Amino acid sequence: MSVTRVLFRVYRPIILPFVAIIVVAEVIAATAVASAQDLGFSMWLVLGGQAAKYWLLVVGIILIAMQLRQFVVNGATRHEFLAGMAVFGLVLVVGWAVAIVLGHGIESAVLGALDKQGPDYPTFTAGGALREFGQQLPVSLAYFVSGATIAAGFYRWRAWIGLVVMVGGAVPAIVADALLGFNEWGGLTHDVPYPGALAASLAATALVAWGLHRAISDVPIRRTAG
Amino acid sequence: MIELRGVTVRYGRTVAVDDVTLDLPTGKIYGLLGRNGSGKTSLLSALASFRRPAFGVVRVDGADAFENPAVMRNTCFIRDTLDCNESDKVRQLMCFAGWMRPTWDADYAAKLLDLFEINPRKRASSLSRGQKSAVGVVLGLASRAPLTILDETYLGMDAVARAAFYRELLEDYLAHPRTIVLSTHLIEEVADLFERVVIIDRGRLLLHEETDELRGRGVTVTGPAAAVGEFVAGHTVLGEQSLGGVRAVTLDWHPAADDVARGESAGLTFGPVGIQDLFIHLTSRAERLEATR
Amino acid sequence: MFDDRSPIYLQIADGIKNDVLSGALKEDEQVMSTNQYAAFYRINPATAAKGFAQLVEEGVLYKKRGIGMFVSPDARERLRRERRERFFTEVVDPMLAEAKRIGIEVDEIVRHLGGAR
Repeated sequence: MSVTRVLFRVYRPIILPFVAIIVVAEVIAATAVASAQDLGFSMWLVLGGQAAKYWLLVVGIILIAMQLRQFVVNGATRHEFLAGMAVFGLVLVVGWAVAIVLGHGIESAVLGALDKQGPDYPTFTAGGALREFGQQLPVSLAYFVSGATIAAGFYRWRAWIGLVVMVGGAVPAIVADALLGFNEWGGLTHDVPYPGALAASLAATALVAWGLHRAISDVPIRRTAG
Repeated sequence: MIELRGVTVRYGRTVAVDDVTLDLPTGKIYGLLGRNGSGKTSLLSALASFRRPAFGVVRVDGADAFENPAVMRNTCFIRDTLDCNESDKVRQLMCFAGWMRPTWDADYAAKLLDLFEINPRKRASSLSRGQKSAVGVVLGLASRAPLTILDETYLGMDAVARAAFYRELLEDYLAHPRTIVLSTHLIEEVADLFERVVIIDRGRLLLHEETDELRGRGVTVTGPAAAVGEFVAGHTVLGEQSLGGVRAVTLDWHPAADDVARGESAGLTFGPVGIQDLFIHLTSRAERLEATR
Repeated sequence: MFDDRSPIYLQIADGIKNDVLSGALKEDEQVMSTNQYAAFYRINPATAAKGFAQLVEEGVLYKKRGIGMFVSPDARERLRRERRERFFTEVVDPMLAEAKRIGIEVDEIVRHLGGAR
C-alpha cells in the first residue's frame, strides 16, 4: 500500500470523531447563542476555521515526530514518506476548506429558515463561498507545513537548534493568519488585496516546505522520537 | 551482493564506525559480534540506510542503498525500541507492517505471537523487555525481507524464548532463504546458525570469516615456560598467563598433526579454543595494545 | 551435539562415517538432505552442506541428481580399511608412549590384553 493510503487508514479513526466533535460543538454553541439573540456572525467560520488549522498543525507535528520513523522502519524511504504525507496533507487541507464552505452554507440556510440571522450575519453567497475557500485553504496548508517543520527541527537537531527552527517554521502560519485569516464575518482582517496576500502566504509556505524537505531528506532515523 | 565501501559513521566528533569495507554475499546468515560500544548498531544503521554514512557507501546489487525505494522495501531492521508509538497495540504493529510490506506473512506472524505467548491486544508500553524483543522477532521474521537485520533482538528473553527464536529463525530461513544479519553477545548459543561471522572492534572491522573456520582456529599451548616460549615463537599470540614455571599461551594458529606431535614430545599440551574464547581474546587484545601504547 | 573445538563440517563427516561403520547407515541407503540435517541439528545449512560435500569427495556418499545423497556401496569396507591402517599409529603408539612414561612394561600390557581375549 502507498504511504498516503496507509496514512488514511491510520487516521480514519481519528478524522471522523474529530469532525463529529466540531459539528456537535457548532450545533451546541450556535443553538445556545441563537436561543438568546439573533446570530450576528458565523459560528461555523469561527469554530470550524480555528479548529481546522490547529488540528492540521498537530497532525503535521505528529507526522514528523512519530510517523516518519514508523514508515521508514517498515520499508518506506524518507522521500516516499514526504511525498505521501504531502498528498495526505493536501487532501485534508482541501477537504477542510470544502467543509468550511459547506458548513457555512448549511448554517446560513438553517438560521435563515429559523429567521435567526442577525443584521450582520454573513449570509451565504456563491462569491462569499469562493472567498472563504480561498482563505481557508492557504491558511490550513500553512499550519500543516508549520507543524511539520517545527517537529522536524526537534527531530533532527538538538533542542536549542530546534527552537531556532521553530521560529522559522512558524512563519507560514503567522503570515497566513495575518494576511488571510477570517474575521467572524468571513472577511479579511485588513486591507491587503487578496491576490497579494495569497501570493505572500503561499511563498512563505513553499519556502518553509522546501526547508522541511531538506531537513528530512537524509535525517537519521533515531530510536526515540525527539 | 551487499557491499560496504569505506563506511564511516560519526556523531559529532565521535567516530562510531571507522572506514569499514565489507562484502556480504546475499542469502546467508551473518553473526555480527562486537563488544558494547564497538559500533555494531551504528554499522547496522548505515547498512539499513537508517543513517547516511559520513563517508562511504552501502550498495545492494550494485545500487546505492540510501533512499533507494527498491532496497528499502526489501530491508527490515529491527531495533530494541521496536520503533513504534508506546500506545500502539501489538495487533496494530502487525497490521501496519502488513500494509507496508509486500512480503509480509500475516499467518506466520500470528503463529509466532502465539508461540511467544504474546497477546496482540496488549499495548507496546505494557510489554516486558523480553516481550518487546519477541515482538521484534515476529516483525523481523514475518516481514520475510530479503535483507533482515536483527540488532540484539533477544534482550530480556529467557532461555526458552531464545531457543524458540533460534529454531524459528533457522526453520524460516530454510523455507525462505534470505540474508539475515544478527548482532549478538551470546555467541555460544547461536554460533551454529551463522554461516559467517563479522567481528568489529572500536568501529573497525576485525574479522570476517566463515564461522566453521573459527572453530579450531585458535590453540592454547601449555607447558614449561622455556619450552612454550621456544615453541610459540613466530606465531600470533592472542593471550597468555603464567603460574610458577608453567606458561599457557593462546595462539591464532591451527597446528598440524606433526606440530602437535613435536610439541607433545617436548612436554607441551594442546587445548582447543572455542569461538567465544577466540572472540574474547581477539577483542580484548585490542584493548591491551591500546593500554600499552 | 557439536562442540566448537573443531569445524562442525568435520564433526558431521565423522558422525556419518561412524554411522556407516557401525551399520546404522546401510550401503545405498539415502542420507538426510542438508536442509533436514540442518533443521534437525540446528545448524546452518551451508555448514551441513560442506560436511556432506566432504563425504562425497571422499567417496563415502554419492549424489543422485534431483533425489539426494546415498551411502556408497563400498563405503563401509573402505572406511574400515582406513581406520585399521590408522589404528596402530593413532591408538596403539600413543598408548605405548604413555606406558613408557609411567613405567609400564610391554609384557604387562600384553598380559592385560590377554585377559580381554
